[in-house]
Amino acid sequence: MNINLDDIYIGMELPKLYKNPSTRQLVQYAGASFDYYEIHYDKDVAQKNNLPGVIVHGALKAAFFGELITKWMEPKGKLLKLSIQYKGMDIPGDELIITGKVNKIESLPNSMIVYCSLWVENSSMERTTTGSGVIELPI
Amino acid sequence: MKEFVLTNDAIKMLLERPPNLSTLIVEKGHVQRFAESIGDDNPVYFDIEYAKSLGYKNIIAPPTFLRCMDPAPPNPSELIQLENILDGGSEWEYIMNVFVGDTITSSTIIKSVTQRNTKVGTSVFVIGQTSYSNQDNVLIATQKFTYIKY
Repeated sequence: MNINLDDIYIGMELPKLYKNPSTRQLVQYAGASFDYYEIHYDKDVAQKNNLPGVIVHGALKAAFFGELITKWMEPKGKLLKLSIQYKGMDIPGDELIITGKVNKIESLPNSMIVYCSLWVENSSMERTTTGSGVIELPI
Repeated sequence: MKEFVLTNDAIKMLLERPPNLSTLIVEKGHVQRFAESIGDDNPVYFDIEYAKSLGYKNIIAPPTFLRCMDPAPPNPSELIQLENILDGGSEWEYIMNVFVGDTITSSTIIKSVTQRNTKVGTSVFVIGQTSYSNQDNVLIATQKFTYIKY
């Protein structure tokens, strides 16, 4: 999307991303990120770790935040900071809604700094992951 | 509840460990497989002409791509008794983009180790930081991370 500076205001929501990670996607992410911890694709290991079954990589949800914010800010924006806190686990097959909100805007001589809060909501409306992003947009 | 006591000696050893170093040559196919695994179809990760039209010298990598360096959490022998591990979160700071063709070096240190009693018993919170530099020895990003061992 081509972001228009005049359209950005405090309280506005970022366009949502809808994700429905399958176990197959977790295997794909494990391979691409070299994170081979078995709780993300081997049910037996997951259950031995007192989990109901395999769970979504936290880092995959962090990557969803990265996708959300870079799609919104492009092509001119620069991502300065991205932070992620895991509050709860997500399981494959559950629809996750990734979204965020503009909290603060700072004007600099040649750019605008935009602070956003980010969150992942599961189908039970729980925010299983929260975070924040800071982007710089040239004026 | 596990019997575990984090000693001052163990904390000192963890904090004084030498940085863990790792190197990665950023390959085009790897960046594309990473973007595909997220389900991120942004052409800036796939199409060099598109990336150049935005002013980049080459295809760039998604913001959390550097997670693939040193992805295993530090599992020092001092904490081996605690068998389970949870990722608590990360804070990234970005200075420069990662481009296809870069050679990235990461350096990871442990910054703090704290024992706490949580609902799953004795837990140890390990906070570390990874610094990433490119082939020109320029710091391009940092990631502060938290792991919980229990």
